[in-house]
Amino acid sequence: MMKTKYYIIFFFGSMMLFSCTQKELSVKDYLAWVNNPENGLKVSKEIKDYKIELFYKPAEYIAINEQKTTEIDTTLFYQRIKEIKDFQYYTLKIESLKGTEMMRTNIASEHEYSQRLQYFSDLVQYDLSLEENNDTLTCQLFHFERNYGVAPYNNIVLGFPKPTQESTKTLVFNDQILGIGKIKLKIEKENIDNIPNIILN
Amino acid sequence: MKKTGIIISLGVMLLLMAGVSISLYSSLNQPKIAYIQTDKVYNEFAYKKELEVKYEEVLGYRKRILDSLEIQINAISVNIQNSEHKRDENVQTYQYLVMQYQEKEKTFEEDNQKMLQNYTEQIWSQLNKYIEEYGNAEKIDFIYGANGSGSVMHANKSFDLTDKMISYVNERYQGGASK
Repeated sequence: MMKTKYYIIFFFGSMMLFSCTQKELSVKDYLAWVNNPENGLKVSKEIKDYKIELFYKPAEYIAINEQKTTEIDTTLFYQRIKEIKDFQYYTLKIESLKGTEMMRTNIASEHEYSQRLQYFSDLVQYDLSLEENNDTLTCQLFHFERNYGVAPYNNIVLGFPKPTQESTKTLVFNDQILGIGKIKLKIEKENIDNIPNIILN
Repeated sequence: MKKTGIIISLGVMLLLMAGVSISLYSSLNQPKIAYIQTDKVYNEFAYKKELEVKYEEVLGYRKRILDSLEIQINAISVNIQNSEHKRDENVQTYQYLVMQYQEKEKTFEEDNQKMLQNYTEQIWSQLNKYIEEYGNAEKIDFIYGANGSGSVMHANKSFDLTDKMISYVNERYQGGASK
């Protein structure tokens, strides 16, 4: 009877310990994990003819991707992490659900195209903010990736200051040109806490 | 005698099974229906409330511009009536200000209309999407909109999804996960 009791305590104890331990993944599996929308670092909304997707990119993910190999040079990796760790990085992907070039979806003239291009190249930065810890952070790093119509989407790379403590993050995109209005996309804290560690070489 | 009894009970059982199967089949094939009070969902939608405040702000700002122009026009008009000093100059200024007032009033009216239309479109495009998501997730075949215009004359309250829908659309607007 006593023995059974110990077994039960041991079982639940190890279960608790296991659930508290963060997962460790190989570089390849880590990249796949971060990219999998089921893990909550990629969230999206479809409004009218557009899909707006937000991707939270951990610093480790960026440092790995920059090396363009799964055989990671750890010195370079840690050095890069040190350089970029003060910011949090996102990619905002805007896709046309019509399958056509996003920049030309629902426009009637070249003038509208120019307006759209100017908006996304320059002005959209002021319509983007990050709500976190009851604070509204302005976009500090911003880059619109032009692709000259080769894909039905465009990416905007964003950087916001990193808070001292992680919490749920809500990106607010107050669109002024696509006619979809204000869009909010939320990355839950628990999904950030669940980001696995990487097993480096 | 015993044989007839068995046959009868077997027949009754078969009939019962057939009845149960038919009712099960028909209930499985029946579309799932619900309704929402459209006005209530629309008015309680957080984004609608936000845009309403923004719209009122812009309206107030534009009204203040027109009001200050009106004050200037009235002051000059009083000047023209009471004094001969710089009369021609004042008349010219008066005409210019009246023209400005009319122009601005017209532009503001058009802009207000356009803004209201844009906002309404934005609200509905988001609302429609969230309602569609809810319907798909809950496997509801039809969600009717009861708005008092006669599209739904009567509905059992147990099919009313209004409150659930209000919380869902607001949660989704704030960036919450879809169902």
